[in-house]
Amino acid sequence: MLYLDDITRKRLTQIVFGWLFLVVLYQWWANLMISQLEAPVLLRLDMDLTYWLVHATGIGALFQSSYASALIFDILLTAFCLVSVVFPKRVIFPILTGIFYLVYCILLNSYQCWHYHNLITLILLIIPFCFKSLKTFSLLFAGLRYAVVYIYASAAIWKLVRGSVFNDGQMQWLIEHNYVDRLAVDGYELGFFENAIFQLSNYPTLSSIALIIGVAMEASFLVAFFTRKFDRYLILIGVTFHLITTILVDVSFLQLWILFLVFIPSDRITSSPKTWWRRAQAEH
Amino acid sequence: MNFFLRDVWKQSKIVFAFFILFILGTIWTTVYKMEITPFFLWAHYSDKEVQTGKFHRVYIKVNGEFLDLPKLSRPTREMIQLPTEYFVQLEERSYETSTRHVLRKYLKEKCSESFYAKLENRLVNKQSDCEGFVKWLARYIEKIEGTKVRKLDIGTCDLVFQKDRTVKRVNEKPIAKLSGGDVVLR
Repeated sequence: MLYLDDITRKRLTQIVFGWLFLVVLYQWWANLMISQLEAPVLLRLDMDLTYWLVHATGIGALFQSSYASALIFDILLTAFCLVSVVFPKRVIFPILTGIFYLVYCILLNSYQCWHYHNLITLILLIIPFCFKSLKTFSLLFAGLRYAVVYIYASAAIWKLVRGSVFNDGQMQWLIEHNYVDRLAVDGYELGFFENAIFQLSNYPTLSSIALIIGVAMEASFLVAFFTRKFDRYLILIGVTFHLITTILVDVSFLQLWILFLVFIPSDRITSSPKTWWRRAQAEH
Repeated sequence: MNFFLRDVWKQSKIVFAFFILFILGTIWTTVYKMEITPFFLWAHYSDKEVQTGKFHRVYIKVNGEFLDLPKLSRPTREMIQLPTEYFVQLEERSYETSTRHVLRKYLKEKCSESFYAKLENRLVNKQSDCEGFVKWLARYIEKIEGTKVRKLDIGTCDLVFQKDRTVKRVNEKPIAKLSGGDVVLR
């Protein structure tokens, strides 16, 4: 197994934490930073003991009672992402970003009363950057590839085992579930594109085929457990899958697209897109 | 994958142990269908659904008008909708949740009374949070919508697809109301 070099690590740090910075900026824009939540009252922890631990420290209660401390927390989280990009060789900043980001996701999910994966999963991506040794970093980053493969493969297996993929009317239900709220708004008119998608729910066979194709796309990630040969195609499949789910069920998981970085060979990470394209052309 | 783990074993026993722990944690949480961060379950949309054309939903009325949730971005909309759905669930279950149940079962007898009370206060909601929630919802909507919320109604309803594929709102059931600064439960 080849270790990643310093230059690749530096570039990866800048890409990952730059992306994280953008994710946090989006959260600011959507009024979803802790200081913008107006001190929520309800919290849902379910049986996630990590959530229990974070709330047991009293940090959530502190932010609810003190706007200033919540604001400082939010600003520090944003700043740590940026500082990690500016100083990619200092391990302390990814560690601090990781801790702040984890606490942020747990608090947000608790107050949102739903344990979403679209933000918190990025914590897996941060872990390798918390180690100074290039060897440990390289091994953890290589392991992350399998974690990403597991995400998609297990999503397909769940649907197969529970039988939802071959369930009559499943996709029609999903489309209706996605559209019912907007159709209930007085005077809401579906746009041309929305209407085209909604019409799919009127065709049971076509809807079922769409669902089966979607699950097959997820299942195709299984191949990556055995070979790296198809990694570049998996990026394409993954992005296409998410574009389809965005259109059909309004779920993009856009924040997680950065995970596809694990499918890019390390020598490509340090080259520009232009060089990458030239190499691909030469290979063909 | 087993080749990968073999390579890792040769190069770092600590990282190998980390991967094994991670795999075992993932297996354990999958078997018990219990998510403990960072061991996630990726079972979204795997529940079998029956197409009935009817969806049970919460509704929010601001100053007498239905709040137009679909016009908001998905995350902002869900910061309003999901806590409201949870609030309705809590009201229906008299604030008995799995978190409270486990907390009571495993920690009540083992901790001092004051520590348990503090922990309970931080981990679960209680009946008296109802008023606080409705007022919070009004505050958050004011911030998002930029309009003064004088009156807020929360309830449940059914959204039903009609033959012409339009949607009709039926069976409206009020749950709570904020009017003149006072919260009234129905």
